[in-house]
Amino acid sequence: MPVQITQDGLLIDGRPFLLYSGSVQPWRLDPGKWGKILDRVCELGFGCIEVYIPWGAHQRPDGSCDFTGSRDIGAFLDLAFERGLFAIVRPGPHANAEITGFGYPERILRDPDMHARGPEGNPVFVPTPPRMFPAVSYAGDRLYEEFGEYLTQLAPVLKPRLHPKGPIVAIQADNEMTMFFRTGAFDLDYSEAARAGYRRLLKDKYSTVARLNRAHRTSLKSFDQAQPPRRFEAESARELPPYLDWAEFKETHLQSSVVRIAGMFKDHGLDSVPVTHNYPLGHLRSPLDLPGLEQGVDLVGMDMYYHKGDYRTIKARCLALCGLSRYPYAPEFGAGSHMAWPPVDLPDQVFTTLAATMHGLRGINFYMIVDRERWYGAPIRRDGSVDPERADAYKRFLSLAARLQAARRSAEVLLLTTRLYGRLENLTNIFDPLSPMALAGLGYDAVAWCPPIDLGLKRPPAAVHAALQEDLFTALSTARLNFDIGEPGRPGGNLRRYKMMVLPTLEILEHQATLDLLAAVRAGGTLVIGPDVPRLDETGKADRTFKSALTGKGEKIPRIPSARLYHLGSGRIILLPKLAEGGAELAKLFGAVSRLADCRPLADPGDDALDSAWHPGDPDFLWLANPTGEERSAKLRLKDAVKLTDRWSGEVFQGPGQFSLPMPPYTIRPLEVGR
Amino acid sequence: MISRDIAVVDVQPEHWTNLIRGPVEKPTVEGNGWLVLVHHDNRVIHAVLGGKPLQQLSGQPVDDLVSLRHRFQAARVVCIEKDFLRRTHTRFDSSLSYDMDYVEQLLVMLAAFRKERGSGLRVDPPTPPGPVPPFGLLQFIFDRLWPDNTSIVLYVVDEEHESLWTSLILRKRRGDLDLLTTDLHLGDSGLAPADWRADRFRMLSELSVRVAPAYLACFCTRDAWASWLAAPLRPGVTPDDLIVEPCPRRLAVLAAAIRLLARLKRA
Repeated sequence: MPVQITQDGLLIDGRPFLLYSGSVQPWRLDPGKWGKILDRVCELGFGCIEVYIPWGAHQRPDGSCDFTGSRDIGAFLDLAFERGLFAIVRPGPHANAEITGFGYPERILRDPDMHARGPEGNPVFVPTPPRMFPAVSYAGDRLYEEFGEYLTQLAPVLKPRLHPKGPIVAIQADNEMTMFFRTGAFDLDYSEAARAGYRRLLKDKYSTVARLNRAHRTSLKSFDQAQPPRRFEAESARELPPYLDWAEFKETHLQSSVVRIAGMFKDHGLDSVPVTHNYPLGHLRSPLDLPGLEQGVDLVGMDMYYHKGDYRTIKARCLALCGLSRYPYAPEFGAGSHMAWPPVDLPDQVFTTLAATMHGLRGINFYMIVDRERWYGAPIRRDGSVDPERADAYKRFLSLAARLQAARRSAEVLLLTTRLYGRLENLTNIFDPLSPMALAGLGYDAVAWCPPIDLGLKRPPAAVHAALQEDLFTALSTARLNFDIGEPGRPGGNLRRYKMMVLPTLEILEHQATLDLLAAVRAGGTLVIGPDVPRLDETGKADRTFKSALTGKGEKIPRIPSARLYHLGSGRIILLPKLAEGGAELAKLFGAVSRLADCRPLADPGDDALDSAWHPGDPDFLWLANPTGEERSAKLRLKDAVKLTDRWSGEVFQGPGQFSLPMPPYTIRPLEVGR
Repeated sequence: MISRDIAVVDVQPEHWTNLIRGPVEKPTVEGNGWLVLVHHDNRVIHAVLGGKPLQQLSGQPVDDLVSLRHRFQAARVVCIEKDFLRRTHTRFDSSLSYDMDYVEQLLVMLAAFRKERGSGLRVDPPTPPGPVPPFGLLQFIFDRLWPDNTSIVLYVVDEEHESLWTSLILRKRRGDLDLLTTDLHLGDSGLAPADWRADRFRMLSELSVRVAPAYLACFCTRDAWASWLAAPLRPGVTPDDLIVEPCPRRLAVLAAAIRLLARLKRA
């Protein structure tokens, strides 16, 4: 394939290409201004655009397609190609793009056979202005057949414009595949096709009805009698399998839907460029599965639309991308805003863009770089003029991004969660059917929505694991550790890349994750667990795999009285039985534990409110962040450093060795280290 | 009331941001945010205060929301029965239609929540009483207050910097709000902020050609806008700083009646 995804972006004909692009939606613009607009795009420094081709905007009610006038996508792509721009295209079926009905043709939205269903068989509405519409089901074949007819007419327009004959270097399958943000475990989809899909999963997993009955504690006579659960009622770990199977089905359903669409692109001859997908804002765990989906498409990124006050969330998403994806990329990164959302101003845009880059994001598609109907605040207006301040900001950022490519963040620590805990968080959500995504939008996280359901265990696993994840994120940050967020037991796993892995463990842990973790330890890694040693697998059955790896009573660790150290292969396991009581002491604890694993802390700016990151390279970059609304100051000791140059503000701070930097409210400083 | 194809174009970003965020910084909400209680058989099974779980209320009865609000310094207490959200979602999802106006859809959702008030849903301070108005009545009033093929205009001028602080232009057609835009839509023919009192006549004339004749137009200074938002019935601003013209007679009468009622209530 002439275009490939690497950890640095795209490799086009063997040449690396930094994937910094911007969205343009031609059918919403005057075709007479397309050329002028694309000239402005080039002047800003972009080498790539992202182009939506919504199904509903191009297909007429009679099924024929309109590729003329403002819908002449071929002409638009040709204009981009003439200017040397690359393009990522997004044909759907789902577009969103703030279009009424999210870009599906009217006939699809009005067809009851196309609708996803709630547990009572009712259609389920997507509550978005200016018109709520019924969520479309991806479980049956009809949607794909209808979309295939559109693709049959669109493919001849796109195929001759694939690289190298045209500008198209990637194609995105669908958009934010989360059943329209309604990811609640017992919300949808209960359509007949989805139920049939669930039964197929059970059949594949258990082979015989007898095995299914043993696992689900049922007395079914055939797989056809199996019904998905409609609420969480398990009281013990042994009762979990039907719920976990439903959670697994929902994950695989979302994945297979995207992969099926990607396959349709290939079937229509759009097979010589990578296929991408984007996950939306909100809770990143089940039913989302980034490493799982990257087995089916070439790249999965995470969308980010944030304000200055969302620093912690931005950091968490970027660290998760670094730990889970083959290339940390945001397919939609807010540049401007939609009227129905809280306003985003230019300082928000600058702060969030720099914050995400600081924490490892290496590619961004800015959404939007050209204003259009229902969008404001992009650097280019729809008449082809520019907003001078915004245009300048994006020019400067692209110049900075090019300079930063020679430096790369590389974490030594991996903060882990697992599929099982993520599924339990969703299954036990007390506010279901309000989805974790909606709750995240309300400022709630899993700690808030998981009630203390203990399942007969010492501690309620979902609630305690969620709380520990939050505490550990804070503790590792305060201890100035350079960490990613990841998952064991996943395809493409990379645990061995890290010196230290941290997983808050409870009595129950899935077997595959256990095997993966222990293999990474045997290969030389340090694994920190606690408060409990897992003794049950995900079906609630006894699993001594972990326990048997911890031989003897373990060694005491100086200055950490409660901890125990166990050797395994070339690595070690550190058990922290009092992890759940850590509180503010956790940061000190992890400072001490990380030294055992030979992890080096990041530069300490001498103020816990400030954050730092280190991107070693040629030259090295030290990043400092003040994510608060108050004036702060950083005091740094950096051996061998003579001066620090803020490549965003242009300020130069002279050393040598010691530096004092003012940190105004909501400031990010990418500091080039001069030696 | 709201067109499904509403055009939202040429929105000047600073104008929109200023309009939504307001002329003065909003005071931070006092207290600990919302206290959300989920109960079963009138006993708390889960409590969340300001987004954080609150273990100490587990198993407690939920009779007295007022004292809970004071005890936890919560801005609001929302108490829901464990299956309330599930029932409510099913109810409105089953009643909604893609053909309904967005306002009508919101009313359907509101009605589903209202149906649970007192049993599945209790709130303190309580929400306003009364039934959910029928959409047809709202549309009727909307049509009486704002004729089709006209626009409503708001301009707020920052006189100190001789710039527009915010602007908003709305148009109604076929019973629906069908255009939302700002001064940017008028290009070079937008309002001249340095001479806004006199220039508004030219701007309105341009508006009637490019968008629709203004039915209601409000021009004011930023200070006057802040005063009006703080006390809509008694803004205490000079007529020179807050100009409402054209102002349809029926709206003027309505505003006067509301002011009179408010005065009587105070007396």
